[in-house]
Amino acid sequence: MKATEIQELLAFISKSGLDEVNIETSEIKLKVKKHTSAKIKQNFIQPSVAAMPADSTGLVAANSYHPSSHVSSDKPERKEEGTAEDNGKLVTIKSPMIGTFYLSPNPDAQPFVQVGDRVNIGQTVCIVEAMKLFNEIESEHAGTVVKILVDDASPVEYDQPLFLIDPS
Amino acid sequence: MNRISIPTQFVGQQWLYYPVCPSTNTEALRLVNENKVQQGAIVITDHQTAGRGQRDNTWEAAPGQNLTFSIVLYPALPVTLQYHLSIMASLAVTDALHACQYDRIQIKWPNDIFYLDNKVCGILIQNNLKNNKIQSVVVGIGINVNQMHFSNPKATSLSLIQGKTVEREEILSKVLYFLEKRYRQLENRAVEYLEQDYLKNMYWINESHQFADPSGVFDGIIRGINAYGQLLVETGGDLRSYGLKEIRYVS
Repeated sequence: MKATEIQELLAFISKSGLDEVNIETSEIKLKVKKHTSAKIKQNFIQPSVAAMPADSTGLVAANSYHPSSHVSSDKPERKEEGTAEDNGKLVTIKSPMIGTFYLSPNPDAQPFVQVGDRVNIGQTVCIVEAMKLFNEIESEHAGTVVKILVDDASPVEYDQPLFLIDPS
Repeated sequence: MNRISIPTQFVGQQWLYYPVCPSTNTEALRLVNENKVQQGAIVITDHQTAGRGQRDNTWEAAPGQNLTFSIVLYPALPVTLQYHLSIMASLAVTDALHACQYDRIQIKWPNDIFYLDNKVCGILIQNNLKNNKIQSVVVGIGINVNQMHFSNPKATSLSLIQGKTVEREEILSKVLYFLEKRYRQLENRAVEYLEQDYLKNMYWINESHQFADPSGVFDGIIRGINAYGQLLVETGGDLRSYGLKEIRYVS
């Protein structure tokens, strides 16, 4: 079963008014539950499973694949902020892990960087906390902070862009 | 606290003692940034005035009675193994207290050290990442040794457990010894071995208990952790994974 077929199926189920659907074929076992009141957090999904992204209707698919029929997750590319032409020369600082993003060393302190600040290579720009481990992230680029893409104290994914930097 | 002789190669060999210090972790991080500390350096104080727990929490320690210190390490560890720093540090404290005959010491996920149902030690780890590798690590450890009174009813001390004054030097020496031992296992990538020992010592593992998550209270059994260090709890035939603050231990 292709990822696009699963997406079509999810779209169909989301419109159908059904609360729970279980589909089992020789290749795949798909269990779909609709959560209209409580939105399930990404963290509740087993990371070993290639989880489908929750769509806007609050559908979360918990599917267990057979090892031989691993479905490639062709996630839609994350939309970058700003227009194409200014992104051409900008570089991003990305999150090296899943965790919680913090702009300051502690709640009372000033942020590490603000929009308009100049950053150097090796300068700490933020903290990503994962499971009580506090990781200071250093910039790999020198330049000016154009935009901070994530709010303080919000969850971030692996490789999620955190800062837009103008290296010129 | 006077400098003690420690049976290690590097952990605790560079000894930086402060009679008073706001936070040994903050001081250690500052020294790391200034390239003033080597592998295994210890920053230790008798009076920590602004000890830090998890971000907004504070760690309260009466002067001269407890152990409050931070250890600096430079592991060049891949980010994927970061949770093993927690495993390493919590196992080292557990090993040390077991060696001092505190048999009922366990690790409450992710890295609190418990004696029966009470917390006796907290750990706070701060890393510095460069090019997706963990370059420097500051492991902050606070052990309640001789403190007799706590505002938090879930806290205890080694002295309260034993019913007599405990020698801080002996405990510190053991913790540093086992930190070096466990750190070497991590350096040698004895990852599965560390995980097995961690689970063996985990509080509430494979026991039926009540937990609470955003959807309410439920009965479950802790079965282990996943690669991210999330807690795996079996309930009603499902295995759920929980991040920090997504689950509460009830009874």
